[in-house]
Amino acid sequence: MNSALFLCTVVVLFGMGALGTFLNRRNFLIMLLCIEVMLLSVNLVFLTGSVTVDDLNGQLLALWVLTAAAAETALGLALCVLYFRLRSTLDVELISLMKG
Amino acid sequence: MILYLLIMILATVVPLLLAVAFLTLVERRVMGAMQRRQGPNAWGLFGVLQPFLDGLKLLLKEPILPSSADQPLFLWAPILTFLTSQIAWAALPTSTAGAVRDLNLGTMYVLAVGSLGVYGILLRGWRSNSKYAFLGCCRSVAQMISYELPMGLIVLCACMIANSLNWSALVESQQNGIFLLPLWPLALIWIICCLAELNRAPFDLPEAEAELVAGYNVEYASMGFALFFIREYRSMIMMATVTRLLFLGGTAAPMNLFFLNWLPGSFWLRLKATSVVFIYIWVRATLPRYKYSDLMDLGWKRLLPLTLAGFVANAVVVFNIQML
Amino acid sequence: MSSSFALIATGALMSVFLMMRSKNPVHSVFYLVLLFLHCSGLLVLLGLEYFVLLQLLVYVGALAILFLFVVMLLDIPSTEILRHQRGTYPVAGVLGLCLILSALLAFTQPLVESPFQTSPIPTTSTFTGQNSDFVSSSRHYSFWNNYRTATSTVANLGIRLYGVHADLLIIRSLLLLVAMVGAVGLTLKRPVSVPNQDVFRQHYVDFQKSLVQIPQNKI
Repeated sequence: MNSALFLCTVVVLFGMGALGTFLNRRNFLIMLLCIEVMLLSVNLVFLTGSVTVDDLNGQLLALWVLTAAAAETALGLALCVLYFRLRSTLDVELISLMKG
Repeated sequence: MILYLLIMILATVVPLLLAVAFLTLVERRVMGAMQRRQGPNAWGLFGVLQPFLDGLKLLLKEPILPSSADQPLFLWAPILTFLTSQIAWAALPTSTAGAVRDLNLGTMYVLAVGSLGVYGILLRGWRSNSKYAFLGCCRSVAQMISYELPMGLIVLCACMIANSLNWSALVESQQNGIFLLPLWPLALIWIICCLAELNRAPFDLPEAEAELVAGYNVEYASMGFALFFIREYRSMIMMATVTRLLFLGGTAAPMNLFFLNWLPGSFWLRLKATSVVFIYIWVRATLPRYKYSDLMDLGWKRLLPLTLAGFVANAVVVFNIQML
Repeated sequence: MSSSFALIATGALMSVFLMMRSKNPVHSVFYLVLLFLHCSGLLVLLGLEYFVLLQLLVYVGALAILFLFVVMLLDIPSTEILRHQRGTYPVAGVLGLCLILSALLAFTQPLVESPFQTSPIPTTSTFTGQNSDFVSSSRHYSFWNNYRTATSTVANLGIRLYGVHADLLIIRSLLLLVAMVGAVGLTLKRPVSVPNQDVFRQHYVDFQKSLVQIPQNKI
């Protein structure tokens, strides 16, 4: 019951992050934050699973997800800075424009 | 149980606050002695009343709240800095009785709390809503996170030799020989990183008094400034404590003679920590300030590769010795 | 136990909600930091103390500061949601409801008997961190069975990472190297007109020869 409640909370967290990614389309940075939320919730699912099943591989996978999240955030923020240099705004609507 | 915990907490906090108060006096007098002048000696015998009068002055000053700054975060920033510098002391063993809570991951805990301490400075500078405070805070935060990397690696080197992340285990494993002997290059790098982490000279450009008008502190009067001041000196004592826990043997007496062991462990701890704090004050009085570009260059291009090399060398040596 | 879980879980969900609703991007990042702290609290309740501190160190201590730097140094105008974007709200609502319902259904008792029997999760023959005297027959990685005397989670994770899955560790370190070099290489603008100070070159100058008398040309 307890692990079920944990997993429910974490899946709701994931859902809110996923919804936030495409509902918050005013800002590129908010999308990156919501991707962070999703990665964090996946991390928590792995860790909860590891404790439930009593297997250490879940914690190893959580470490890998942490690594991937860090790498992806660094590159995403570098792209964010580049995009801001081009357009002087972080409006996501303008990504589909070819000019500039 | 609760009473025991309360007594342990009070026994850690109260002497620490007194130590911080007297450290301000000690720093000014020692710097004065190094510069061939006298520090504060007017109030009390050898100036011992000076820190309390300083505190009284800061308490009675009028607090200034800028109208353009966001009020709750503005007030929370000094509280956050004060808080994070205090909770790091929960895992450090200050006597042979151990820490308030001797965590098995004590070293990681201290590093993590050090990372959290950066947020207080970030909040201070940003919420002050003024250009110079913000510049000072950006520089300071960049400096602190840059020098946290070699610090973490050096802590891990010592933990590899001790085979544990526990502070008490580190102290116990130094009974046969303090870690300063094999790890002295890393100890040198560690002291440099501590100075950079504490924003102390020669790395105190973010709070350079002449240029940036005390950096990110410019909007804070009276108690906000006092809390930050206490945080700085308390972090200094904490870094000194961590230094002697890592390298100098912690609460153990220098030699295992029975009459030296009569003195309590906390006495030896204080003695060694005071010597490290003296080194910090000595460096402040001696060396000129680093330029910011040179500071970052030192951290990333010189200290970090050296520390990585030291980590790998340490790992190789420890692995080979354990395989024997 | 469950009251602290209720408190921390509610705090985490409120942090995410406030993060998405706040107009100021710096406030959003601070709510993200709050979320990280709440999730670390959830991990404390699970008993994984190493991951608590690891998340504090990596997520709060490095990633969130990265976010804060980018947000503070880029002057981001706070934009409002355009009108034609609000058409996605009903779709998002339906999908979100489906997600939450499926999560609730998956983890609690199903209302009807499903034809698919959920098989118990197969216990793999791998060594865990909790039971130290569990004799496992780890056939694939028998070399590392001699190091199975550790009892703490950190030591076991270390043996796993650096011993059993060392190749994955090296590949992951290459990933981090690519991320680091990529982040610097993408955003680096070397200013051409700024005079670079090379201290070694400055020391190398022979001051005896640095002043030369140029023969005067008769104009």
